[in-house]
Amino acid sequence: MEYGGEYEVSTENPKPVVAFYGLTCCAGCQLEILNLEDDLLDILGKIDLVQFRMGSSAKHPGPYDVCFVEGSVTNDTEITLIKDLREKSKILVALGACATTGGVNALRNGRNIEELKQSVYGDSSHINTLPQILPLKSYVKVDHEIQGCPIAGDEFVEFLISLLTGATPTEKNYAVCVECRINENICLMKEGELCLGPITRAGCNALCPSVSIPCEGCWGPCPQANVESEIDMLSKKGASFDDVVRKFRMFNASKEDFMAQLKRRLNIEWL
Amino acid sequence: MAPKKKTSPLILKKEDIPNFVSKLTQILTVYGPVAKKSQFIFDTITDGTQLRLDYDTTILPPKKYFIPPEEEMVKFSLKPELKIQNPLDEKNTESLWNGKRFLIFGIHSCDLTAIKFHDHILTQVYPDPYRAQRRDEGIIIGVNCLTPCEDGFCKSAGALNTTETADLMLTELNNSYYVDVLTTIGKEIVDYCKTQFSSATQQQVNQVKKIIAHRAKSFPDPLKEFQKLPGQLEDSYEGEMWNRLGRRCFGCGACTMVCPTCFCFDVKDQIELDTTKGSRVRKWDSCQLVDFALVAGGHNFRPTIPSRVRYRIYHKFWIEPEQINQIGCVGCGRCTHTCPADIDMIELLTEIEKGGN
Ligand code: SF4
Ligand code: SF4
Ligand code: SF4
Ligand code: SF4
Ligand code: SF4
Repeated sequence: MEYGGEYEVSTENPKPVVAFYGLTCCAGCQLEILNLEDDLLDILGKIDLVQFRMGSSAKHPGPYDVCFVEGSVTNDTEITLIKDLREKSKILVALGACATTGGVNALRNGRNIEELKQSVYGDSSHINTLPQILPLKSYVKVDHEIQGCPIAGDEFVEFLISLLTGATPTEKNYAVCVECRINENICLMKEGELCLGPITRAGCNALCPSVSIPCEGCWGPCPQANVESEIDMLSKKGASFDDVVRKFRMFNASKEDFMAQLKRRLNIEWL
Repeated sequence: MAPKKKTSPLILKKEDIPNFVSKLTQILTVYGPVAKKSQFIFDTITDGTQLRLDYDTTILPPKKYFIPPEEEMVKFSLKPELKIQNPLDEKNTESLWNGKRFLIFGIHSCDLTAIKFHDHILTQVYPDPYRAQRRDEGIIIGVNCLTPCEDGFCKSAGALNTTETADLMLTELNNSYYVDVLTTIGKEIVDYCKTQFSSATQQQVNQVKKIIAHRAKSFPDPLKEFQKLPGQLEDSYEGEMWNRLGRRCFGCGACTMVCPTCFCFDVKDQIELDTTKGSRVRKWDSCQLVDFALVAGGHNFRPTIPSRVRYRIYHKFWIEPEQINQIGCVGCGRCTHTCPADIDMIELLTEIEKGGN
């Protein structure tokens, strides 16, 4: 048994049984894995992939050694499902922004859900949905999170390798700016644009600033994110109150700590 | 780093630079400043016309050619048995490096000073065989700055007149460059492209002396007490200024990534997907990042942003001078230029001069 490490996976099968599940989302993270063309055959040689909607219609009832879950919990059925998956899986991994921060699904948080339903669906009595979107870890114990909207294939592969070798998965506990400087991008913040790079976890290899687009924070806040300074700097660039709120909520509306700091700083109650 | 050899100064016409560079690219890998939108970076030069000797500063310093952002230290295989392959081991036939010499064209005095700084600290205090090998492979053509860059304070930092680590040093003179040949390798380079150089006249020698003397006077000198900073820091450790800075700082590490004197790295074993082999790599690290001073058992020696902002300054202005009697800042201004929180090195050091409160 070569995989396991700190998660103590033990099974008679020489390859870990792996399943992928999608909750409410665009399935972009699973697509990102399908896009790993160069590595895909090697990956399949190392794991026993029993359920992967993007590649096959096969279903497997479990139990699983590792279960990757993308998407957000948006209704009661999904609460039941995620609890069931937790029971059946030795390792549960949240995949992508929807599962780790709530992602864009959490934009509804703080709004009146009945009004939202009405404006989107008209007669919405048949729509069963939760008023708040929370990260998966608010519902069940999550062993590891892979960030991003969508995730970066290389971070997924890196995690898989630590799983197979028993190494502790590494976390990039620093901001996008590190990768952005190494890529020698022109700093957009210094050019007067509104970039969340200084408070966002690295891992995307500074994808957006490398093509001159300011970071929107899809990897979630980095540890010790200096929210106050970010608000000050965005304001200095001419951002309005609404700009700041929009920017912070885009991918991180369900990050309680993060939002609490924003509310404190802007002295507001709602959001 | 070959011994110095006195050769009389030469003249290289600006119009001949593209040909000179193109000729160099036939025998060497050539790096030099090129435009990146409104700014500049050091990059591979394939055509002499790409070279922008009129650059002010670059996003990353030429350090990246001596200490790359990421580099393999050893390769290893885990199966069928553990085998380690060290690229520094001469018996190794499959070297990780191509062994080809490279040339960096157009390094400014601040960065030449930083190379000198690394030559000291990375041999005397933390010997770094990887850098040493690259340093031996590298040839340097420096160019004198005649206009100060926006955020620099090289004159205060005592870096303005450094030519020491260059093999050739250029000074702009009307439609030409005046060329000081500083080493035997420099001499070999000009000999290789003989036809492009002519001897400088006495008048040109005098003109350049005048230009350099004028520069020494006209460049800004915002930090008159720069060399006294190590002493002043002794009294500022508990200063309120670190908390004030810490409230603004993101701990993002951008300032150390772009710094020509920073040399910290993290080491990681990367195993390949087939789990039979891998490599030990080092990657640039920064004392501004939260995990930098985290040790086994979970203790973090600098758990807060203010403690880390302070550490960067103490490392450069206190610890390094203690170690090699040289301040670890050459006044290039890159940290100021890049800081997303607009923390300005000159302002910060001025505050220390004023007592740190
Ligand atoms: S562009 Fe954004 S991510 Fe890049 S260095 Fe500037 S602030 Fe950081
Ligand atoms: S730069 Fe920011 S928004 Fe873009 S991919 Fe990276 S974390 Fe996401
Ligand atoms: S500390 Fe700042 S000014 Fe000094 S050498 Fe480093 S980047 Fe340049
Ligand atoms: S400790 Fe910090 S300031 Fe000193 S060399 Fe390392 S990264 Fe640079
Ligand atoms: S670049 Fe600025 S904000 Fe980032 S760590 Fe350095 S001083 Fe702090």
